[in-house]
Amino acid sequence: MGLRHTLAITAFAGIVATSMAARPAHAGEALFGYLYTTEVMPAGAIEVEQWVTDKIGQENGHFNELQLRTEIEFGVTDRFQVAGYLNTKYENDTAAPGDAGLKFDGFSFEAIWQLMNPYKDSFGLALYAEPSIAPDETEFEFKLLAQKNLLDGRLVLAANAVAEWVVEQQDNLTDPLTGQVIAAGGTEKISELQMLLGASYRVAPNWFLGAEYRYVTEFEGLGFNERVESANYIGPTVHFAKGKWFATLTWLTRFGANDYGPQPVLLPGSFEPDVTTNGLRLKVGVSF
Amino acid sequence: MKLTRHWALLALAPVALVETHVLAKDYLTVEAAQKLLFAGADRFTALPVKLDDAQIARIKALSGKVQRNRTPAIWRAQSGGKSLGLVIVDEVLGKHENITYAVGVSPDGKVVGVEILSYREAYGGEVRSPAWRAQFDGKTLASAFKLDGDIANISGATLSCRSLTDGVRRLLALAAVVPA
Repeated sequence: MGLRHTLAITAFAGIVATSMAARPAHAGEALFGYLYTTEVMPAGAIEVEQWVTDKIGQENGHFNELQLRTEIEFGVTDRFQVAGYLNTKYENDTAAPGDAGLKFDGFSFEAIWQLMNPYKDSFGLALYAEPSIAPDETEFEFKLLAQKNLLDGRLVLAANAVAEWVVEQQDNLTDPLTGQVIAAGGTEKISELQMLLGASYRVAPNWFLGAEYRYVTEFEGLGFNERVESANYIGPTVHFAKGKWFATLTWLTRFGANDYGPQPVLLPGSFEPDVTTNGLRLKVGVSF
Repeated sequence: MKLTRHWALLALAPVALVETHVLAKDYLTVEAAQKLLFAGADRFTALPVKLDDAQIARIKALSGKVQRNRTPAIWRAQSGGKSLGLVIVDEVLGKHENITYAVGVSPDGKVVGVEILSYREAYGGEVRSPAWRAQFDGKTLASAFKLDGDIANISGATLSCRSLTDGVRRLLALAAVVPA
């Protein structure tokens, strides 16, 4: 799918969103880049978000992948919201320079059910589910979201526990010079656990400054039994919101990464997109 | 390329439409709010107050909330030299901006009224409605001040409702510790 198609879908989504009846409502705006809070949109409210995630660098050289997600959120009830994502990516992989360019990366569907409201209950609690379908990958994510507001709402603490299952179709890995198959393709099944923690403080009207921490551990197979690798990420986050608009920018850098057991075969100069050393995420949203 | 640019412009269409919305902001001056809260008053006298640690602690004990401003803006409403009550102007957190509001408190510690001076959010302006504000009338420190209990929540403006509900309760406690 080309850039033109992506823009066309984005434009269509924007027009659809705009043409729907505007309702007085606050957006379930993203306070963090990688974490979710438990706030959801009220019934009938719509928000459009654009995510840009830049995965930067790997241990074996230069790597850069730009993930783009265009999201439309809709408040079904005051406690339940759904969302649809159009995913694209721009990958600059030195192992396959001819493949550089914007690529369709599938669709995702998201549902968040708020069990406890952080403004009405002692803390916020929500369940999150996100299935994704891409040309070579099927994925399901489940999250438990928690939020605690302190200092009259000036300080927001958030925690997410994440379980993820991925089924990926892989091509044969061949040596580009000899054409010899190095590793056979097939179906790869992966499971992943994550724990994310974040804190953000309202330093002035419209502005939040904070930090996010993310621990990721990946397993071979769907049963969380054969651990492959783990990594920690930490970094600052800044959030600005005014009126119906918000923007959130987060930088995460990796530390304390570990490998367990035999590692996947990689050609010199090729990369694993899921184990980047740095990440930069920008979210921009507008509510209707 | 031309077509791509056109699509890009089309994608910005919602942005242009949204920009036509006017953000609400200042609605009342302090003087106007004073008059609305105590229509019978002929004089409003500023009370210079500097809260000490003991008073801050007392406010916390009475309301469960922290009074952050040690020099709150308070006026005594009078008629013919007789005190009708206090007007307190305060700020609480809205979703993105602060909300400026005033509370009238009678000499026996009851809410006379709540007025919103400034509401700067794009949404949730319903907190300015007379019906929502009237829920506070007559409340005392013994009242529950529970959102979705004795105070109705406004969907989509929960933080504003929470902040104002906590704020009114805190100002009742403040009025109780201010020297008569």
